[in-house]
Parts: sequence; C-alpha cells; structure tokens
Amino acid sequence: MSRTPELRRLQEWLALVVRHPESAAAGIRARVAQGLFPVQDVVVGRVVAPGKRMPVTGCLQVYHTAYRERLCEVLAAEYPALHYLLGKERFRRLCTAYVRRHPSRHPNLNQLGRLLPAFVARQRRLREHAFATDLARLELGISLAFDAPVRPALHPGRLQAVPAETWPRAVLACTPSLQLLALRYPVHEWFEAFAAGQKPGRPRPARTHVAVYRREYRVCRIGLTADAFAVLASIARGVPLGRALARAPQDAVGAWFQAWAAGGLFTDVRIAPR
Amino acid sequence: MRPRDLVTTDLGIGLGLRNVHYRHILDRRPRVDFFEILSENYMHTGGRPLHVLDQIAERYPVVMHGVSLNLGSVDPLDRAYLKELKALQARCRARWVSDHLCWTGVGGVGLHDLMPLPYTHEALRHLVRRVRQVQDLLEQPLILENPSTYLEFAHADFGEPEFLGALCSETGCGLLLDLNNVFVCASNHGFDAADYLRRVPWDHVVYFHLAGHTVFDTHRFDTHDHPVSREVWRLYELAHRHSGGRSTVLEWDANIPDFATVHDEARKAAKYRGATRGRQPAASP
Repeated sequence: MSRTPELRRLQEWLALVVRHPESAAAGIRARVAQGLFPVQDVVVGRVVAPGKRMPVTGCLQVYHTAYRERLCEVLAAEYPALHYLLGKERFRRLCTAYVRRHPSRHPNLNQLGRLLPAFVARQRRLREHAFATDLARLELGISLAFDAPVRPALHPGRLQAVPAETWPRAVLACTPSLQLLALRYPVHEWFEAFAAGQKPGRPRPARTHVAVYRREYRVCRIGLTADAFAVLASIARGVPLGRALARAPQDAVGAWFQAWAAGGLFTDVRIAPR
Repeated sequence: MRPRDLVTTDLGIGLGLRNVHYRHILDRRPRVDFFEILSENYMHTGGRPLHVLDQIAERYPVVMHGVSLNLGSVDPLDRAYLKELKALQARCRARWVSDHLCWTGVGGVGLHDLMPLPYTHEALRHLVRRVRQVQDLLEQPLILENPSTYLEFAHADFGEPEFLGALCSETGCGLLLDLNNVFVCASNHGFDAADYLRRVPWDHVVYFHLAGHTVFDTHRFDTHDHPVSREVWRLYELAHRHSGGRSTVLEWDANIPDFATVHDEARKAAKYRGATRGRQPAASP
C-alpha cells in the first residue's frame, strides 16, 4: 500500500482533470475522476479552495489550458512546416488528438513528438494525408539528427589504408545522426522553400529519397537517387561493401562515396571476416 | 546535510541562458557574472547545445535549473534522469542544481507543468524522503524553487514558507526564492507577499529568481515574457534586506528580446542590491 494515499489520490485526480480532452469542468465530472473525488465535494471547495477571483473550476482550467498549450507549442516548434501546412487550428486539433493517444512518458519534452509522423500516417481523413506524413517524417529526421550523439568523421587516411583486395569485406559505420527517408513527395524541396520564407504550394507526388545528417553541429539534407539510397541504406545496416554495391551503377559509385565521405557520413571502417 | 553545506556564495547577477542568444554570447563574450542553464535543454541530446554549453562553461560560472525532476510525485524517482542530471552537472561544473517544489507527472505520464502540492504533513514526509534520495545521488544539496500556483488545496497543515522551512531543516536542501512567483501567488491567492518574505527560512536561501508575468482579469500567470514588474522589484529589494544579499538570475523564456535588452533588465538588479547594502535586515515577526 502506498505511504502517501491522499497525495496519490490528489495527484491522480488532478492529472485526470488536467488531461481531460474537453475542459477541467468536464474532467471533474468524468466517471474516473468522480471515483477519486465526488463532483459535489470539488465544486463546493472541499478539495481545491476557490481562488481569490476564480471559482474552483477556473483554477483547474488554468492548468488544463496550460497543459494543452504547452504541448502544442513544443510540437509546433519541432514540426514548423507541418504546422504551416495544416494551419494553426488543424495543427492544434492534431496535437490534441496525438497527446491524448500518446501522452508524454519521458521527462524531456524533446521526446514528445517522436511518434507524431506515425500518428499522422494513421489520420486517413486528413486532406493532405500522404504529403503531411512525409513532411512530418522529414521534420522528425531533422530533430533526430540534431539530437544524435557526436561521432568524429572517419579520417580519409583510414579509408585509403584499406587494402584494395579487402574492400568487398569492408563494413562502414555511419554517423548516428544519419536518417534515410524514402518519401512519396518531394518534401525536401518543399521544406527548403518553406525554410527560406517562401509559401510553397503543394507539390505533385514523386518518389524522393533524402539523407538527413549532422555535419559537426549543422543539420544537412541531401537528395539521393534511388540507387544511391539503396546503397547507403545497405551500408547503414552494416552490409559489407561488396554486397552493398553489387547492383549499383559502377560509374556513379566513386562520386557517391567521395561526397558521403567528405560529408562526414562515415565514422569507422572494419574488415569483416571471410 | 545541514545549512553549512549550502554554498551561498554571491555569484552576482546572472542570466538564464537561452539558445537565441548563443551566437551573441560566443562572439561578443558579454560581461555576465554567471549563467543559469535549463538542465533539460542539455539532456537527451548530443549535438550543438552541449557544444555551446562546453564553451560557455569554459568562460562563465554555470548553475543548473531543471523542470522535470518530478520531486513531489508519488511515482518513483526517475533514476536514469538523475544519473544524466549528475553527468551534466559534472560536465559543466555547475555550482548549484535546482528544480521546483512541485510534481510534474503521475502514473508514468508527464504533465510538464509545475503542479502544486498540498502543504500537509503527509506531503512533507514524502518530500523529505525524496529530497534525501536525490541529494544522496547528486552528492550535493538540492536547491528548490517556490513555484507559481493557480490553485490551493482545501486542506493544508502549513503555509508555503513554513513547509519550505520544515523541508529545508529536515534535509539541508537550499531554496531558490523566485520573487515573481511569490508575487504571482500572493496576488492569485490573496496573501501579503511582504509577510511571506518575513517567514522565509533565510539561512537556506541560495539565490533569487526574477522574471515577468502576464496579468489576466482573473489571475496573474508566470509567463517569463515581460520585464520584471515594479512590484516584484520592490519585493526583490525587501528580499535583499532580509538575506543580506544573494545571487540573482533573470529569466526570460518567451518573446525573448535581444541579448542587450535582457542584460539591461538584469542589470537593474544592481541598483536594488546596492540600495540594501549596509542596511539592517527587516525585523522578523
């Protein structure tokens, strides 16, 4: 049994009221909340004292409003392009539904939006559903790259030191900031325009591949061809180069590797046993 | 831990470090006595924020202020969070680690707000246990801030200053006295802020917070998006007379103006600090 029964009851009740999807007044009338404190006790001030200029429900509503506002603000800061696309009110409704389905379970608010792209993907009634999903995935990729741990880029000398005959067995480690996205819309270009302060219109669908990563402390985005994406995705999964490059157009591979290595995408190399 | 373990060194006038000012601080190296960081901005992240913090901690004293310790919750303390908090403290050599007298979530769900606690014997026993656990892990006194609140519970065994006094004396923890919060609560709940200050356990006060708030028809809200109000400056002067002088941090968290504006607002504190030097503390009741 808890050593703090009354404190537990108060906290569980307040959390129910604050998280109620409609309002604090509806929260205190909810069946589960009434199981903790009867509504009559609440409204006459036996649980929470009336404020100097507010009734009990008004005091509770301050917390109810702040909860929703704060979490929506955090999500708007992490997903500014999605916020722009949907507009204030629709984004707010999306966030409210999201937080109800996925309440915060981490002490840090930078983790709150981690499931938002998957949630958007399930919102089939959203008018721009597929485009919005892609945009959310790109913005999550940017956040993940921003927060990823630092790993120094592989020194070019280490790559050059790999004997030619062992290249097929070479396994490259990618920066933990690397996010590889296969998308249905060219959201990468749309996002560029948005970030530059333009008001881009909704693009036509087009298969698009993007790598998001952090070079030192700056988040970068590069578009990839489907072939380059397939190779980089294999490398990121730890596939040895021989297999990762088996189906790649050999005339393009050199340039890809040069660009990826120069971009600091690789952090280590090892030779897999035969 | 006893009050003697509390380091109440007057670091001077500090600023809450905010990312919109990073560039200015790194490039211009303004003369600031110290910075207070929001602990969670440098936790669960591995990129630029920590890189900037490392550079700032090289040049300025740093103190840490958190919002997610969830100290008053009936949920178990989050050991992983505490471990990361301690690692951050070691990394930036923070002089103090503070959080709030509140709870921020229950049943594993975070509300990410400074939820009020009932000032009861039961809550005090709970808080004493938790503060001791945190201090044992951090190996230093925890500093706790009085929160802004918008409701009071119908039943209380203590006033807030007496609750804080009992908690401090049982655990040796320190106090971060937020004068804007005192004023906001006094206004919302109808008590006399000057009387509140007379009841504060001053031996435990480590530093002060100053900030602005928003006035609504029905209540005042702790928004940190305005300059410090005239009433709060008056309380600050009074607090200096009680304390004999403590470090001070200005917080500005929304609609943040340029660095010079925030810095100028913080430097107004010097006038009030100077005005109280050599005066006797106000008499206790």
